[in-house]
Amino acid sequence: MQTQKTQIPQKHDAPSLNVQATWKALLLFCLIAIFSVTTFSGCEENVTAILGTDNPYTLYGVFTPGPDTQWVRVFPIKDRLELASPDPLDATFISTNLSTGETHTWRDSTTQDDRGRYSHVFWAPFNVDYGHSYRVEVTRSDGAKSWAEVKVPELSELVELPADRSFRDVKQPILVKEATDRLIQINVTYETIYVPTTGGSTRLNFTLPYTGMQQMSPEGWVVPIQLSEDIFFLREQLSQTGLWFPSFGVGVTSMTLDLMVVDNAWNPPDNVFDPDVLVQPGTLSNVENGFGFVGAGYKLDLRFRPENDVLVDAGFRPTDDGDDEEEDDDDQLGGKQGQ
Amino acid sequence: MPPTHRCSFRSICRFFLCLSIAGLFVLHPKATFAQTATISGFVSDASDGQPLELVNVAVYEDNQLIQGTVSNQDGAYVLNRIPPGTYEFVVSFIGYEVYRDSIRFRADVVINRSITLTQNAEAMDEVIVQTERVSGAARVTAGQQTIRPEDLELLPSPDVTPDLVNYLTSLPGVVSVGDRGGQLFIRGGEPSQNLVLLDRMIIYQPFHVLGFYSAFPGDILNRSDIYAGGFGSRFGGRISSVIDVLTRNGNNRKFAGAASLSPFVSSIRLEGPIIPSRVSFIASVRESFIEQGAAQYIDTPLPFAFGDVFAKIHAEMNARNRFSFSYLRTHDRGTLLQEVEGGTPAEDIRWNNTGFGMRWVMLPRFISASAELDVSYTRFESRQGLVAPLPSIPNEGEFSGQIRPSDVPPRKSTIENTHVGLDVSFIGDRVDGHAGVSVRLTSLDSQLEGLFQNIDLRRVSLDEAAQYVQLDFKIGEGLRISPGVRIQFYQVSIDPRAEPRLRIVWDKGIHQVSTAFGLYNQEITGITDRRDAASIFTAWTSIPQPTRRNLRRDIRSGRLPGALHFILGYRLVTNDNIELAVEGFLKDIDNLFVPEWTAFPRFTTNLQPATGKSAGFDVRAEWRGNKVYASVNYGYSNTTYSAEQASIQLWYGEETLEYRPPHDRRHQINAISSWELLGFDMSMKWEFGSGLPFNRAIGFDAFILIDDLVNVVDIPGAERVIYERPYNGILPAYHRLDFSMSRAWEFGNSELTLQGSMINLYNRKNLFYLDVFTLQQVNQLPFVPTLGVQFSFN
Repeated sequence: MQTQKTQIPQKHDAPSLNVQATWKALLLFCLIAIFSVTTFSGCEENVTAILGTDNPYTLYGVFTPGPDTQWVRVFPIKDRLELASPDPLDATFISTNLSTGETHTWRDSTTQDDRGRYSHVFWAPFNVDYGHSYRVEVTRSDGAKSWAEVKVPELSELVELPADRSFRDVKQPILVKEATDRLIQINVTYETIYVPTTGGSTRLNFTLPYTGMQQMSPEGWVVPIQLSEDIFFLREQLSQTGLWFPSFGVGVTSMTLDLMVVDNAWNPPDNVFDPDVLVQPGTLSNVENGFGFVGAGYKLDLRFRPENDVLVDAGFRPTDDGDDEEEDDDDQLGGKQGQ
Repeated sequence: MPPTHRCSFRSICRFFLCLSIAGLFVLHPKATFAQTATISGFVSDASDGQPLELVNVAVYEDNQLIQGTVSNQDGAYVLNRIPPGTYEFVVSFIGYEVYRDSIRFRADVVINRSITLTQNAEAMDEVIVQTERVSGAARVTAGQQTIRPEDLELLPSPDVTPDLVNYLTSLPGVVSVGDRGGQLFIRGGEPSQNLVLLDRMIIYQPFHVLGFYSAFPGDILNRSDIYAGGFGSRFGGRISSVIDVLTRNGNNRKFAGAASLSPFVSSIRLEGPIIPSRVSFIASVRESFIEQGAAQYIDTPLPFAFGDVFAKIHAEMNARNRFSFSYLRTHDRGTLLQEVEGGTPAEDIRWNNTGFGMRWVMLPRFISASAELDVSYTRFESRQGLVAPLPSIPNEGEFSGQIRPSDVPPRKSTIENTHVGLDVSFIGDRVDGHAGVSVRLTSLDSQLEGLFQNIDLRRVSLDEAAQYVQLDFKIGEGLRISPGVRIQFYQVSIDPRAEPRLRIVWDKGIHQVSTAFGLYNQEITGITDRRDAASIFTAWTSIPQPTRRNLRRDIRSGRLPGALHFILGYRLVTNDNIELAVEGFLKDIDNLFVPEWTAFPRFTTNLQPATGKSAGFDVRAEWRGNKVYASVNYGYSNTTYSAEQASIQLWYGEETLEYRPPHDRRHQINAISSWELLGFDMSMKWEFGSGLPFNRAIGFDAFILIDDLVNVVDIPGAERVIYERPYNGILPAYHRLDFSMSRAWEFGNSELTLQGSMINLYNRKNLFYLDVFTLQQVNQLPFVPTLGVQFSFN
């Protein structure tokens, strides 16, 4: 604790006016005010909020064999968020089949969504071929262009391989014959029967994700369906809905494997299509001098039913082959996983 | 809450109570047993009954000082360790008649003597006051600064009645995003990390939506203590700063009041005795007048409305007890952004503070100490919603991550707090002791409608208990060392947290060196979407205990925000008129929760953990002349957040994203001057702040999730911002000159005051907010001339 002489500021009780100091202060204020007013009056600094880019377009589309028309959505990269005009886009869209040299000039079309917003989808009437590579190039009138190259995977087919049975590990491998590109969206659907038929619906479908579980072999990708592991998932799902009857178990009437064979550029981080991650520009993009993604691929599916003894080894209840005809009663439970 | 927890909590409370009582005796074992005498009481002003702080109280024998002390903010003093005998008892204070009496002191007797002092202006220059500190722009000691009502009058204001927030925003290290929004960032800390107390009640958002006003009008204040960091163990539960405001008592001798009107605010204050010389009241009501006033003559929409009501009853129950009851209610409503086509829709934000509490200041007969019992209840409710709901649009959107404005119902957050605290202070020769216990019962309720997607927010009741001890050792030669510890139970962990604190002050002649260190934790936090400056809706939430259920779902689980403070300061008093101060600070903050980075211009967000580091220094100079005052300060601050978002590595090739948060103002200058001329009081303030970080965009396009054989014809795509690296842009600097001029005319016991003000004298177009989606700029107040009038009587 110190002893010192202090003066509490008390505005109205101070001693007599120090006129000289006051006039000096007033003069100082006037000088500051005049300087401020003349220097800063109404001044406003520009702020660069939008840096701009030389990339002219963002492209989204998928090349797939089958349809006789191909579509790619084109967004001009703008310097402000504004509604698109219904007028034709300042863009020339050309595709080239790099395998044959065939070119197509695409046409602009305007679509309008439920909120009345316009956008542009370019299209061209041609079929894409398996194993061919394509280049799409969108050019603005000032010469700026964005482009992407895609390769449509070779045609392959799904082939059921002999089951792999070992102690407590039963697998049903499916070969994606001669496929060397990427596989995505691999799903296995079990069509199951869970209680003896006594009338009413007794069937449920379960879909399990298998993306990332494929293995490369000399003949192509192999998807090993883990029957002896999947039954635990099915049992858990049935238990949660009160449909698990241990005395009956669960039988499989049919299974379906569906997947997409895609080009190698279609490669999201960790094989997960997370919009919160992919929304960052450039995260999943094969568009040069622009943003977006143009993919190529096609879907395959195979409906099959493993041998009864394979299913029994995996822990399933044996069922009659004729059970798989009652498809109309099927319910979906569990939904698609890992989408 | 499970019964077992309740039982456990009671046990904790009993434990603390026993520990505290034991602590009282340990701290001051001789207090009740020594063969010495004690005198205690209250000192007040004879004219209006106001307690007088820093009054010199001493006993002399033959003009030799036997013991001396000063009164505290309640006017209470305790003078102990007086040897038995007859002495001259002297109470003196600058500007007051000296009180002298001859008193016989007997061993082990506590004498109570409350004193009223009579003003005597002639004695002002002759009185030596023994004091530790008074207020002043450069009077900062290890982050602590006291502000008194007369300090507020040194600044220009658009209203005749000054406001505390106007002073706060002129301090270096205090950043507001602008003259609207009601948020203060103190030395890198966020608003929800500031503990704001009014008569010991916690006020969660006390600053009004228009930045000139708060719940603290100058004419109800007694003193305010600002701890920009390094605060002692009495305070806890916050990790950045403390604003401790005490109001004054009403005049218990006669009625007084004031009514004022300005283009911004109209107000009425009334005070007077309920029982003369014993019980008084003071009440203040303010209501904004902006939409009908200032907005009518400046070409700027000001859709703000706010107001506050404060009332206090103070009773001098007897010579040993003072009791007060305070009540506060505030309301705010505002639209910070105007809607533009294609841009962010206008959102309306409202909040209310309600609080009441009692303070009971005691001078116990059986112990030579002062004690204070506080009981308070406060409630804060905020709500944010669209001004006008947009029509719902069916069948739109191709993925669930995007939420449209029309989908967003109003968001609400409510927090209620009941607090009981007991503080005891002992005054010794070489050491003062402070100890206390605190129990808080808090209830939180939020309806966020998906605003923060990866946290669980629901109705939660939270019980906290804390105990603190702080010792002030007076080593000698001006050296004071104040170690302390706060032991606090948090819900997130079973074991109590020990938070050590240390303050050291060394006064050597005209020099003062001070330092402070402390660890701080905060279990109840406010979460705000800081992606844009205009977002001020705060969801108050507690940190949940980690459980198997929430371990993955709720990123806050078990992550108790904490901070380490370090402050080192130097102060120089060259003479009575000039003071200089330099102070450096460091705040290291852990377990912040900040919005995840996303390119979606959407209304919801995920949160992610982050750490923060803030360091800087400030320089202050003050000159007090006769009727002329000037001060200038400069503050440098550098705040960096490091976020741990999983995608950072993918996007930027770095494990963490380091960025400047949007309140990181690097440079600040405030220059203040006031003087009297020809009967006019004039004041001027120029403030400068370097630009705040913001998110620059490269451009705009749209996003379509290509995860399948997507038919792009049917999917319009979600609007997307192509951002540059987060917060890489810097807004223009902020600067403004304000000027006020007032004069009062007295008519007997009445006074009429006229005040003219010019806000933003040179009409600087300071940017408040930039909507990168539309390039719409919302500027802060333009040049606003105002004329206010106040009529007062006493």
